[in-house]
Amino acid sequence: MNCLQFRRVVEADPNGIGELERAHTRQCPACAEHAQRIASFNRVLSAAVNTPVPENLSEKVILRHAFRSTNTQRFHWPALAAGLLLLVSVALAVGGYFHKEAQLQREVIAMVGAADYALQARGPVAMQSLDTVLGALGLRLDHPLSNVSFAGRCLVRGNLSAHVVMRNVGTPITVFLMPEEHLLRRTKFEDARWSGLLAPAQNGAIAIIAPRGQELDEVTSQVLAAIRWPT
Amino acid sequence: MSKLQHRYETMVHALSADVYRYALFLCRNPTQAEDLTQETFLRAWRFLGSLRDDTKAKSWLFTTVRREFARQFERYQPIFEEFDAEQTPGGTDVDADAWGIRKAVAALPLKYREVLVLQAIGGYTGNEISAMLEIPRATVNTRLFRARAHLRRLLDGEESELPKDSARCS
Repeated sequence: MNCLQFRRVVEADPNGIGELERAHTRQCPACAEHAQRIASFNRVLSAAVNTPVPENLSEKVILRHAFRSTNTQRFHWPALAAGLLLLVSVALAVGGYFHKEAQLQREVIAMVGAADYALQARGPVAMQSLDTVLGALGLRLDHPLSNVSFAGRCLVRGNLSAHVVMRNVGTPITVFLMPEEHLLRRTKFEDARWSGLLAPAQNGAIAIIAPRGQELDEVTSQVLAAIRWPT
Repeated sequence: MSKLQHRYETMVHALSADVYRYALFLCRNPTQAEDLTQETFLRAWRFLGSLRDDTKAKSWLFTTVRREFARQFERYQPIFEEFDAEQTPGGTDVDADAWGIRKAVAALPLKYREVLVLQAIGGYTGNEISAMLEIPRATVNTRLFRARAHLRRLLDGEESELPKDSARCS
């Protein structure tokens, strides 16, 4: 392979580089340097095409599939009744899901309002205490959670859950870890006093509640990355 | 959850972002790109049972996006005719060089944009792109060479122009 052939490949088709081209760079310093420049351009190009995607894109695709999948078949008359029944069931299930989600939002906000002692706790909570609280629910810490000022257990809709308060520059952020809850999507909500976020986790769900207007995405990512859920 | 449903959801989680990005660079409209992504995965569900090799899922989805885009283009041609650089999403998520290149990629004529995005997002070789688009490999490589040289010149602050063409898929 000569330099011209090498440059044709590396400039047009860098994903198609093979052993021939690699051997050429070992023998030709000028082409090796050229390949470095192309690699640097490729990094900029990769960053350029790696555009942001809409929030919760996967969940929206899956949810739409849940709505639409029952409508894609052609019904024959004998199947129509069964199909309609299925449709009604799906509508009820979907309606039930949204009702359950709204109920959970109201309940976690009410719990934060009622548990003033947790918001007032200054901590810091020892890692061992946090492990004990989480361990009772089968949860484990893969990474430490920072600035935990309260850790306890509570019942959310009758199911044992972990109740953790973290401090972000003094502002208390309440986290509920709920192994018995299963959500399809991430939702944000708020009332006059609080902003909240519900998110599905590996095998359960989390709720994050903070004073209205507080940014929640970062702490959500931190919590989701830190906790290992029971399988 | 059935095995098929689980397989479907795994595929959506793994590939929806890249499918969206490919759709976005085809149609250059974030709303339309999301719609194309949704339609593509709805079609994927119908044919998932016949997809034997999961490693081919990505190229299958990209091909479906392209066909769906072509179908929508036939129907709503005026929507895609003019490119508005302000529609390019992002800007604060990347450095100035990458942002400039993102806008330049979005402004490329479709025949160049398409092969370049398949290469940069999909990681495909010229041979693979040739098979996906059903055009000769030499044509793919010529388009890639011109598009990449054009972008490199822009990145180096030089003047550069590519021939204009229609936004239709070739």
